[in-house]
Amino acid sequence: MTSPASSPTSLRRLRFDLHLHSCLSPCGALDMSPAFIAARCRRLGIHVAALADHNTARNAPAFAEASREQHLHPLFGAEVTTAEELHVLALFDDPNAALAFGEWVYGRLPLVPCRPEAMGDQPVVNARDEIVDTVPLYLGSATDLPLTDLGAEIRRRGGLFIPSHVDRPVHSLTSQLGRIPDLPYDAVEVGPAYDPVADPLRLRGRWAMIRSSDAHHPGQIGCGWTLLSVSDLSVAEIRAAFRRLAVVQRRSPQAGLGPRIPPLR
Amino acid sequence: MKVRDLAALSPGAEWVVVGLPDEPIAGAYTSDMLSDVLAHAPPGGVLITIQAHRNTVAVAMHRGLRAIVLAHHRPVPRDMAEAAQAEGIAILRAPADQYTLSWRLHEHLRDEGVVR
Repeated sequence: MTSPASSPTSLRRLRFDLHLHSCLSPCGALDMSPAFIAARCRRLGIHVAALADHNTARNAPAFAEASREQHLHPLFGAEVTTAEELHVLALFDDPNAALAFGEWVYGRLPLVPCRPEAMGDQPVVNARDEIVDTVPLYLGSATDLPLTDLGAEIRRRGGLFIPSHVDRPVHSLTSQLGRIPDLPYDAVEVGPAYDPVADPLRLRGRWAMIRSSDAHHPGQIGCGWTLLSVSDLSVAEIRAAFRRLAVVQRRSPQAGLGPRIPPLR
Repeated sequence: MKVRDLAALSPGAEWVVVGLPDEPIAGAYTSDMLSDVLAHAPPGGVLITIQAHRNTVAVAMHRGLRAIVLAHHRPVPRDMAEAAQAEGIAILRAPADQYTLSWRLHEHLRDEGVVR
């Protein structure tokens, strides 16, 4: 694939999946290694993929290397559980920025150890699928970070601030707060059942609505994506693309949203 | 009061995971914030909540809880049931709300002298 950065003045329309979990997430399948995800995304026509494990970014280096080999454009970050127990995506274009952010988030978790036999494995792996470490604290816990503080920190560090699956009955803005607070999100992720035309949460035009796979298992990769027109893959350009998409979605609410595809078995 | 007696708290209650039915109940806690449960739920107790997902089981394990009672008859995801089964933690779905379940459970535990 030709890099979009090779023609900086023109916009290219690319397929983004901004929410994928690797084996490091305790609820992720063990075969979801960064190398596997990169290869599967490439095969399924995803151009840009973001790895966002729960409350850590320690598989970012492996995903960076694997994505280079697959000519996939990677983004890196974490899906943070806030003090309100809702999920927020924090995404960066630099794996080291994601790693530093992930270490900061990890330091805000309670001291609950992971018991793999009951809670799931949490392996850090390299791009050759070798386990190089395991994360001792349970990554499914909630941090002590309030939503507003987290958002400010993500923006301060130059990341994208995106509340996850805002219409879901658990771990979402609506399940935990009963509403969508008016904060400077870069976009809002909606689930596969959300109808952008009826738009019951009144998102349209306020923020770009995006759809992702939130894949935890191999068969879920490719089940959700968003088309964005970008000139490069910096956070600044993706943020600008979200703003353009929000304007388009005012009159064409389904613009950019990939179809709802049932998971593969 | 034993774990098996929890089904009497609400008409229409149904077991999703029976856990260890003959274990005694040592107390109870009602909350929908798992970080709050993590800090305060009594070991050997019951959690009344609407949080029907696997993390609830992880918190229950960490606090040594015997059972989770899900209010409003919330559906239970399969991974939650599997985790609870593996750990011997009971899950009961009940149509009543958190207030009603807490009040009824408190009456039982007070009568037995478990709580005041």
